Amino acid sequence: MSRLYVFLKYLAITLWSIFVITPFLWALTTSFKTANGVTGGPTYIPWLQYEPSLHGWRSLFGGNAGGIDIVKPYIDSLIVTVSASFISIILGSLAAYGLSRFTYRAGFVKNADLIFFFISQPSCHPLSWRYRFF
Amino acid sequence: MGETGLRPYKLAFLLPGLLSLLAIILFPLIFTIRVSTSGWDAITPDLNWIGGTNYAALWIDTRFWESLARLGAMATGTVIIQYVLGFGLALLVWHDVKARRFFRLLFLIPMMTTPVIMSVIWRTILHESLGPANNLLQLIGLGPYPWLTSSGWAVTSVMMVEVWQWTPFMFLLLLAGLISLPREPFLAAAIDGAGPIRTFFNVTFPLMAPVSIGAIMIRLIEASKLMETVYVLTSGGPGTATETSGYYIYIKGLRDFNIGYAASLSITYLVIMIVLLTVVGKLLHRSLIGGRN
Repeated sequence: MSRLYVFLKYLAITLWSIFVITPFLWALTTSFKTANGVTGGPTYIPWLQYEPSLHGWRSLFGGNAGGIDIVKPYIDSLIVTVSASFISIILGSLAAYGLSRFTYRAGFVKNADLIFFFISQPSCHPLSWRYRFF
Repeated sequence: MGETGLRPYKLAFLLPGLLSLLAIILFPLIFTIRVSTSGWDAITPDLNWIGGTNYAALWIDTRFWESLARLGAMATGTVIIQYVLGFGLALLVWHDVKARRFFRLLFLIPMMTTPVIMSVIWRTILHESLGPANNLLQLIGLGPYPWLTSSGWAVTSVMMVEVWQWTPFMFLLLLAGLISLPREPFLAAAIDGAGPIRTFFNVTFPLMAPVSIGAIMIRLIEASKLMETVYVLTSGGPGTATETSGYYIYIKGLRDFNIGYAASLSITYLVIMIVLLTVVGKLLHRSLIGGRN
């Protein structure tokens, strides 16, 4: 492997890593700004370019008036995720085992059709199903 | 596989999943079809019967067809870019790279974040006067660019955020495919004296064809739902420059409350997508695997 090839390889990896990491760094540095710091133009380095403040972080844990407590919503989404995964694993593995072990036939519906029905669901547009809430 | 037919013990495996899916999927689908033949809107919110009036109206709704064409162009464009970049990155960290576990994990991070929240962060980055994108580019003498306020740049921005968010998915599938490739074809190619480029086009790429088709199809399906990035970044603007089908249906249904009309748009969109993606899948399969299987 030539030196140039190795150099280009690591250059490409580095460039993509920078692209990947930039939004997170920007979010991180912005999280220590006050409202005035955000609307005062782009700044990057705390203490040097702006005075960092923990105001935003304190609001997350209910420290400031009008802030939200993030712990409760976090537990809520944990409950939703875990129970939804639990139910879908049970239903899905039962159906997958049945479909791979046995042959089903009801009229024109065969195993392949059932498998297609199961795996084709993610392809539906979520918006298409949203109208039933009205 | 035993006898055919429907024995109780076999149904016990299948029915729980099938019935719950049917309840969740089929009922809303039929309901949406029914709604699409009604004039349900903010003034008359009921299921009256107006037949195919909605479908006749959408046939001449150029804004819908434009959004569909725009969606097609943007989805195809981003998926091609994602595929090329994802394949390139997967090859880069496949082997012979220091700290590859670290880079593999790093490259996957965007995929694990919430699209809406990352779009908000990207919107602040691309803000014309307050964001770092123009600020940093001006340091090297470029810009400022109207990232979100000129139609061409807005499309570019949406596509860039999509590429940022979903190239990792492509990368993940293709890297998994690369790692599971057998070693023998590569040894044979090396013994025959094939260089890296020759090896890629004659060994790696053909071996990866099935994985590639799978990855591209999954991404096309996902990309055709392109909506939240547009919603947060540009709200379909400027004008209708970045308005995709999903976003147009959202405007019609949940902002103008033309539920009936939006339902007919949804159904039309669904049918078109199913047909198009089936054709694309067949074409990909024929061109990449084609005669060899």
